[in-house]
Amino acid sequence: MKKLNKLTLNALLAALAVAVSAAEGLLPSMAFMPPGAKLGLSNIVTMYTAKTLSVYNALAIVILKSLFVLVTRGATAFFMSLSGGFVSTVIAAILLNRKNGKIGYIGIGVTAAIAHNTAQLLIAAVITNDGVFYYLPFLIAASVATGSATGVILYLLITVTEKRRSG
Amino acid sequence: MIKLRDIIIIICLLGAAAGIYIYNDKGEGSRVQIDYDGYKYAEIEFMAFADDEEQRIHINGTTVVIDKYGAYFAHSDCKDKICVRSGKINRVGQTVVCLPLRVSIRIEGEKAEFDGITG
Repeated sequence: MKKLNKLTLNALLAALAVAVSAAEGLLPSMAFMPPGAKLGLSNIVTMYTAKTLSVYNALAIVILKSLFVLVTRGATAFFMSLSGGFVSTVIAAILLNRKNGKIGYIGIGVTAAIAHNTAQLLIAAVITNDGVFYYLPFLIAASVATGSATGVILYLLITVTEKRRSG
Repeated sequence: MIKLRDIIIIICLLGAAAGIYIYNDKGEGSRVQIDYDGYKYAEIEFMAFADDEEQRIHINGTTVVIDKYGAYFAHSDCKDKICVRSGKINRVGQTVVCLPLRVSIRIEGEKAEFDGITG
């Protein structure tokens, strides 16, 4: 891919990630989910970027999205967004770009979701106290559900776009 | 899309979640500790409360209500209101945190103290 094409695609995906996470914030919180749990739809965009462009392009999106969060929701939310996004994107990128990877898209989605939530929980523990670890089992269960969903969507996205590019 | 390892990962994670939950459950608590900015702000014994007795604590824009059966955030000035939606807690170790306003409530009980020392 040409450098300009890459840059344009990266910018488009960054805008998409911001829009998706803003839209997700408008949804009511899900039933049977711990408070604060989200689907993590923008993770699909960063994982897709990590797969089709590079991990650096994906991290650029994470930083841009966090800056948007800083402006709209404040410093606490900024650190939560940045830490979760950074850790989960790096882990997802490693898993996605492994040759002969034995972990499928659902496993990658779940692992990224767990990484995202654990990083945020650590930040929350620093801000308040270690009592937040009470949330851990609920967050793990929620991550399995949301990570599977994002993994399936990522798989569909990648297979559809790969087919278009080659066909 | 889904491989054997994915299923193994999911089963292990759910098992771990269930394990942590069971390990953490230490029955109903007897008092609530309120922290502000990472430091202890108040500690209230609610077990000995009368049926209709309740105590309201206002701290940094939040209102914590404590009655005989537990504690909850009745109000918060923060935007997301996650703490208010979390509802009432009464089991040892249960915690509700209002991250934006740095206020948290946690249920304590006698048994938790010992677990804290040994575990």
